[in-house]
Amino acid sequence: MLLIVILAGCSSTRIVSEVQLIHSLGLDLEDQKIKGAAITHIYGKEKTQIELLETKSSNLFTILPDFNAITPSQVELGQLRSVIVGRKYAENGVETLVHTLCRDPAIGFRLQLAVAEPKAMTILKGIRHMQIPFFISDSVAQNIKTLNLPKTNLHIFLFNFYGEGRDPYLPYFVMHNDRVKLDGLALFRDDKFVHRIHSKESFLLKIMVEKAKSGQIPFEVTINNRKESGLLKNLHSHAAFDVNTTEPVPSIMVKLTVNGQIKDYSKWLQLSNPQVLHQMEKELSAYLQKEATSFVKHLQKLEVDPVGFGDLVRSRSVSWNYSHFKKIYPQMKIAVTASIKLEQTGE
Amino acid sequence: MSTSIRESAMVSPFFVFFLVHANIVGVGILGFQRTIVAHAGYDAWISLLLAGASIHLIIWMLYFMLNAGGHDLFSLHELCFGKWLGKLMSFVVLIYVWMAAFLILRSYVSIVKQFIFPLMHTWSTTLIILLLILYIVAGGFRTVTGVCFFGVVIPAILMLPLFLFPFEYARPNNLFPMFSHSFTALFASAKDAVINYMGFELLFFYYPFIKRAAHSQKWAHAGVLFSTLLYVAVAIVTFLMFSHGELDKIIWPTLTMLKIVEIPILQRLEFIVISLWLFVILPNICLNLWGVIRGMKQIFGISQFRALLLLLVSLAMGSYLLKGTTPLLMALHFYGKVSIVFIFGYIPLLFLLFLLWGKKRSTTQYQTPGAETEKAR
Repeated sequence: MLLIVILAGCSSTRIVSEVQLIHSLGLDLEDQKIKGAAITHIYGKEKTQIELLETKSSNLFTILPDFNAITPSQVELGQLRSVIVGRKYAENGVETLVHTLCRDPAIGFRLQLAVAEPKAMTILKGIRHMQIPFFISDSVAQNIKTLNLPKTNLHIFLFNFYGEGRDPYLPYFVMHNDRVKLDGLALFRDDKFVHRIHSKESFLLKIMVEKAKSGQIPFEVTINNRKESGLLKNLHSHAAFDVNTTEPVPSIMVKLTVNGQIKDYSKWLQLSNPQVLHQMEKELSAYLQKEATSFVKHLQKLEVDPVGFGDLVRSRSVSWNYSHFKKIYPQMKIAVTASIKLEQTGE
Repeated sequence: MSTSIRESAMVSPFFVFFLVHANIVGVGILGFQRTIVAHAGYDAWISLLLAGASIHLIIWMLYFMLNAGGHDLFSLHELCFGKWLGKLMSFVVLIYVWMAAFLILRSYVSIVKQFIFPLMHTWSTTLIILLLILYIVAGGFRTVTGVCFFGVVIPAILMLPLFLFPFEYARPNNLFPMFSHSFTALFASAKDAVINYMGFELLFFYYPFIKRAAHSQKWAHAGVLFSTLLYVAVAIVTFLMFSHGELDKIIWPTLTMLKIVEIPILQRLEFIVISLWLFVILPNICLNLWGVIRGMKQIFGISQFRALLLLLVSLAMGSYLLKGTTPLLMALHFYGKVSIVFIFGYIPLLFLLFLLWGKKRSTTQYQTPGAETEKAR
């Protein structure tokens, strides 16, 4: 027993106030060198300060030791909430990074990854300026809960990245009047950033990849020859896929069902009248169908597959060849139908 | 050869369930998913069922032999091979059982190193566990059975979060297309899965310690069935959560699944689970070692306590000599091959020999242990 006590004493202890916990890690690519930046806390006696560490190195694996070299206390990743990479870094491919992250036992799968425009450093400097340490992870969580961001974290990224027939996507951060702002999504092909979509397409992707309980999309419809624009809020949505693999080139039917509400609309529109309401639902459905169809066509043209159409085809075909699927993906017939039901119109 | 065993050293038939199940489930369940999907992809859960079914058949063979007159492995060997060759064969099996104990211990220590204390020395953890083993095994068979009991109850509680949390990310699509693999692939995968069922063969050693042993067969089968269902459940949860490509990148899928769990006061649940997993591997190591020291007493007549000390030293030495993960994986791979030969080659062979001439001899030499205890009651 005594021996156990003695041995337990010499394990490696790490006391919170004596180590530097990194909350956000930022990575940029600059002329073939990697620039790392990290947001950490300095626990002061009076108040806690956010500090930004910066280093430069030729490869990813020396970044952390480099941080250790510029701080008096040891740097720990145990509390890492987010990793943000600059646009250029993302274009170059993030496979090494995510592989390292997923193998580190100290890192959980709820870690948030994100892409920054133009640089991770810019965003982290903005965060230091605002003095909000968990800005990235908190704003991602908030956007998933109330706005148009599909669920995302390290696990979902790895699932989409390593899974055949899917491509990953990440939240996209920009600077907006000296404030950091989450704006749209970064779409990847394999591990490389190829395209950025904005809030509207983000909504369309969200209702296709999950049973969404939030999100909103601005619309313009014509009712009784009058133009009407407004904001459609999604209360809960559902996407059903019907895959036909009998032909050489498979085709997919996407059925979107959205239960939503319209918050604000013009006075003349009598939504309390069932006839008008029904007409509104029809117009909105047509509008959403048009938007979603063109969004899917756009994805096919880009040859990215964040929805996971390939995975759907894989799960319904006996023989599956991913490289063959990649070739036929742009020519696939993917039709979208949408039906919108409006609830609680706020009358 | 066999000495009659005191009633007070025996355990009830019902405990066979715990003895069998606790020894099947060990380190393997933390990372078996990756090996079984190599051939059969996400249909591998069928292979687990196949492997489980084959183990039921082997258990039936074991009980047939043991009920029909062999008290344990040593007397069976003597019946089938004669005195000296029998002793030699027993010794070979002992080495195999020792190897299992050693590999379980070494794998566990390597997991602790990998996940919790990367800078820790192998010897310090090994030493603590060895002292614990010394304490348990020196307590005799009933103590080991008690540890087996805990080794079933505790993981059952530990496995719960595994079935609650990952479901947020479950993708039923991963399991499809179902039944898309050929029988050959399923069999190849079942062969890879068998190593995870190792541990039941210790029945050969503790059979004489079970009261009304012939009646314990249903409990042994229940233990195997329960293990099979647990494996299938864990495999399916894993398949739902990870895409196939992702699973190839993960060494311990069961532990990695816990990375999704984040509880306010606990940043990483894996730490707790790995620490408590000691209770799962302890029965494995202890029962194996107990089997070995019992065997050494039977073959060489060494006192059990001395044999135990000798074994602990050998385990420590082995841990010291086997450095790094690569040789460990190679050793595990080798052990997997040997266990296949042992289970599906050696046990059926013994069964045949026993049917040919062992059975006749046994009826002239012994009474069945079942009848013996009936008389004693």
